[in-house]
Amino acid sequence: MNLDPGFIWTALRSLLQAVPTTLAITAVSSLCGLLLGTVTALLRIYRVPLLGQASSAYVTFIRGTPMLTHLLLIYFGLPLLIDGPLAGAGLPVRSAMIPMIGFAYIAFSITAGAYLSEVVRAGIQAVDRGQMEAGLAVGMTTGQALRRIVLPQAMAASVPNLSNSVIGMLHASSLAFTVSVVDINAQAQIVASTNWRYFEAYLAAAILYWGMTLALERLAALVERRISLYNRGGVSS
Amino acid sequence: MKKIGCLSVLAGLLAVTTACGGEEPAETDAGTQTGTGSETSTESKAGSGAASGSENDRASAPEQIIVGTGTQFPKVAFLDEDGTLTGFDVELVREIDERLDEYEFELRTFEFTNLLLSLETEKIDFAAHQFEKNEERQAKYLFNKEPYAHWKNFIIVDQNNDSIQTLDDLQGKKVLTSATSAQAQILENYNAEHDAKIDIVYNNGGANDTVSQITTGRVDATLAADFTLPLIDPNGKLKTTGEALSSADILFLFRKDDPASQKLADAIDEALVAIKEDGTLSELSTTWLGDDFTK
Repeated sequence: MNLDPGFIWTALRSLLQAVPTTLAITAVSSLCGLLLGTVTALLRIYRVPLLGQASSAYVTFIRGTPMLTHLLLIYFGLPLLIDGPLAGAGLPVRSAMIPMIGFAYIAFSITAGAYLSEVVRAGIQAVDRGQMEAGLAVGMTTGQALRRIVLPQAMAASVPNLSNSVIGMLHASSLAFTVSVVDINAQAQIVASTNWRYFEAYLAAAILYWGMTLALERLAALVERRISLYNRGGVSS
Repeated sequence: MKKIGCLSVLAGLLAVTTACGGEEPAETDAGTQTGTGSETSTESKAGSGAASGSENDRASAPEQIIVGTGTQFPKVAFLDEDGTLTGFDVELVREIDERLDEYEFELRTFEFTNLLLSLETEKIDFAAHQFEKNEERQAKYLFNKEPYAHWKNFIIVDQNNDSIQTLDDLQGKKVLTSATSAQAQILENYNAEHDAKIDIVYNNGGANDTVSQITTGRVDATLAADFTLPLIDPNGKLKTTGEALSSADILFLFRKDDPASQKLADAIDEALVAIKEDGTLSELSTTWLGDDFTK
């Protein structure tokens, strides 16, 4: 088989139209996942009755099952719930109203939440207990100390792991093609079927993914430098 | 007394075990013989001339051939309840293997969308997955000459939908198809030739959700070969509509410009002719696809 470099370029241009989809899935699931992960991490660290155990169960179940399974469970399970009990209760909802990408958002947020829960938990535990105690000593409530003292430091400590997870999500978002969401990888298959040059199309997809990953790495480095300033005594707040 | 008792018990046990040991091979022999007996009877019925003659040529080691197929095509190439790969294409490939002494086939499964690339990159030697012959594929790949099934592609819609008869009726409508399939090709060709486009919704077939996508109105239609409809829609919620869009021969797919592939394709053609003539192919089609689609 011979390589057609020209088609890599053609494919690359065609793949650009799928970039927003891939970025949207990555951004939405990472952000929602971070929120979910932070909440579950706190519930677990503070051993909140019931909710803490529920969070632990959530993390172990989701980390114990593949991401594609989550997507399929949501894709087939959610319509059962919506068209069954909810529609039966007279609510004007139908599963067909959820756009396909919605299933990907929901499923991948749940996936990301479990992994990020561990990332955030590690970050929080990396902060010295004395920080919390100092906050309490000057009269802050636990919530205030968490928000003002612990979480900012915890986030700084989590940035490398966070960027790792986001990059993982960027690459894993290609699973969304299972539910007819055309991401970069899917677009590569589609453009290749016009002239059967799959290898070139996949190569173009790889270049694009790599480029996006490089940008993410740069962004993470920037954020890390900015967010860790306190550590070097650069800011006295 | 006690000792003697023990000994006699031991001796008795020994006798039993040796007796069993002596009988065992005889028994299993009989078992396998009846087993192979029934197998060979079907085989000999199937392969009358081709297989029996060249039994002696086995001395030269058969050439190993990797056959690419999939697992997500019910009745054609799928995993049964026990996780065994089977189906029309799979069993046909095994039947051909039986009849070709100079080759030994090994089936490997791939995601459908990666079969063609696997063929090009020599991961597999030929692909068996109901590949339909069309111009685009012919330009890039080698087909064997003897088709083993014939397809007619139809538009498939919800059973209550009577508004769609032709591809023109699908302009502006959403049509679900699997990326890299022959049906996608039909839709893409239509869009290339017409200003009013069909809205093609691609997927990779991984979710097996064609029926639910059409009945919930997410998409308006899909394209599929006539015989696949009962397979993807066992409950009859969908129907074919209008005239056949295309009819095509189903063939195996080989690498182009490769003498070894050409030789393999010719050998398979020869075996296929024999398999057709003695009715085995029709039998396979009826067993797996519910009707004879090989004529």
